[in-house]
Amino acid sequence: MRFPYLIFLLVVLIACNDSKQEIRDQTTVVFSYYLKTAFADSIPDKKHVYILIPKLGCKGCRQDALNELQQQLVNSGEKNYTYIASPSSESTSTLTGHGIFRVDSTGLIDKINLPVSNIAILKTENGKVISLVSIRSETTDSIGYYLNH
Amino acid sequence: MRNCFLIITLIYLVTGCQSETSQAVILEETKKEFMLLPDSSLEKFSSLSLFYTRDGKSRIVLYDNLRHAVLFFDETGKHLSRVILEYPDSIPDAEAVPFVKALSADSILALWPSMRCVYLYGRNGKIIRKFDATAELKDKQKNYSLVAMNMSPIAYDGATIFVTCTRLDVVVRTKEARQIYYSTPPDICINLMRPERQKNTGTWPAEYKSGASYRDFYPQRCVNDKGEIIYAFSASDSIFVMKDDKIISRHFCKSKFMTQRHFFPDDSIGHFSYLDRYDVTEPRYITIMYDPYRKYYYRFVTHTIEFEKEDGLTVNTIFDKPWSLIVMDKNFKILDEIIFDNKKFLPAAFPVREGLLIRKRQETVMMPPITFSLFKFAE
Repeated sequence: MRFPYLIFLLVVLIACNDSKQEIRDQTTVVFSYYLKTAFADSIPDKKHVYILIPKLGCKGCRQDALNELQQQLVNSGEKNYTYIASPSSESTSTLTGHGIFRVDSTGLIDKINLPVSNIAILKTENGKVISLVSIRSETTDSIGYYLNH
Repeated sequence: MRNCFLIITLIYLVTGCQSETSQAVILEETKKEFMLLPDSSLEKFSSLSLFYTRDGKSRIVLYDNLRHAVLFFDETGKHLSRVILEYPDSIPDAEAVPFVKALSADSILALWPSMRCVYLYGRNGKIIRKFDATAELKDKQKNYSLVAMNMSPIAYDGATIFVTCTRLDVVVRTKEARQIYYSTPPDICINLMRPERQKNTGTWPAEYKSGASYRDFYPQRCVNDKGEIIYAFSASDSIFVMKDDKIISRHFCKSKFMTQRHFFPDDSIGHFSYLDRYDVTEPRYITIMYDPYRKYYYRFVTHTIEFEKEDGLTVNTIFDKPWSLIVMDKNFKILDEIIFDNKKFLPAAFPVREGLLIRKRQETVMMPPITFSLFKFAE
C-alpha cells in the first residue's frame, strides 16, 4: 500500500533534481557567454572559484563580505580563484592575495542574467558552473562553508 | 416617443463625454539640439535642474561633482557662469556632494548630506545664511534628517522652501513601521524671510498609509504660478494640490500604461537581485512637473517590462523601460499621453519658452555628455 507513495516521492525528488540541474545548465550557458564576451575566455576544466563583484548591492555589506572572503581564502590555501569586478564597484582597492584580478570594463557583469549582488561566489568544474551564491549581510559568516562545499 | 428621447439623450451623453476626454497634444521633435559643455572636462555631475528668471527666461543648472561648482546655462545650452561653493565647517568629507537648488543666479540653496539645515549661497559662492530645520514632526519628535534628490528636489513657492524630512527612528521593514512613517507628513517647509516659521507639512496617498510597501519613501512635487504645491507619488494615481498646509483639491490622473502594481515583499528587503528585478518590472510615475509657459502639468511614467531579455543571457535595466509623458491642463484634466522612444530619450525634460527640452539618452546617465533635443507643441 505504501508503494504508490514511494513512487510519488521518487518522482518529486527526480523532478527537483532535474530542476536544479536545469538551473545549473542555464547558469553555465549565461556565464560562458559572459566570459567569452567580456574577456574572450571560457570556463576552465580545472576547479575554479570566481568572485563576482557587481555594482548592485550595499557598499558596507560588500566590504564586510570581501574582508571575510579574503581571510577564508588565505585559511583554505585556495589559489585557483579570480575576482571579476564591475567598473562601477568601489570596494576593490583593498583586494590582495594570489588570485587573478579583473575589472570588467564592458560593464556586462551588471547586465548578465545571473542573480548576483553584493559579492557572489561562483564555482566551476569541468567547464560547468556547479554552484552560485550571492552573499547577503546575514550570510557573510557562511562564506567559509560556501567555499569548501 | 419615450424611447426616441432616451436614445437622443444617450447619444448626447456619449458624444459629450468623448469631447471631454480627448484633446490631442502634438509634440514634434525639432532639429534643435545642444550639448552642455561640449569641450569641457566635466566628468561627473548631479542636481541637473531648471529655474526661471524674473523676466521669464529659463536657466539650466548643474553641480560639477569633481570641481564642486554650480554651473549655469541658458536655454540654448550656452554656459553663463560658474560658482564654487564654500564648504561649511561642519562637513568633514571633502568629497561630499550637496543637492543644489538655484533660486536665481545669485541665490543658491544647498543641502549637504546627512544635514538638518539648508545653506543659502550668494553669487561669490560664500554662505549667506543657514536655515536649520527645527520644526517638530506631527507626533512631536525631532529625530529626522533632510534629504533631496532629482525625484524629490527642494521646492520653492516664492517665499517658502519644501524639503523632504525622513524619520530616523523608523526602519521601514514592516507594515507597522511603514504605517508610522506614512503617518508623518513628508516635508518640512521653511519660510526664507522668517525661518522661525516652519512646519511639518505635505501628504501621503491612502495606498501608502495602509503600510503597504511599494518602495517609495519620498514625495514628488512641483509648484505652480499660484504658489500651490502639487504632490504626486510613484505608486499612486492620485495627485494632491496643497496650499497653506491644506489639501485644496485632489485629482485622479492615471496613465493608460499603468498596469497592476505589486507590493514589495518584506522578506525580500535587502535581497538586491530581487529588488533590481522589482524596479525593472514595476510601472512607475517618476516625476511631476509644471510648465509656466503653457500652464500644463507633466507626469512621467515608466512602463512595466520583462526583466530578462529575449536572449535569456542578459537583463533589462530601468533605463530600458518604455516611458510616456502625461500632459494635463491647469485643472489636471489629461489632455494626452505621449510615448517617447526610450532608446533615444530619457524621461527627463525642462519646459522652456519654445517647448520642451528632452534629455537624450547616453550610456551612463550621470556622466556627460548631457544633450537635449527641443520638442515643440504644434499650434
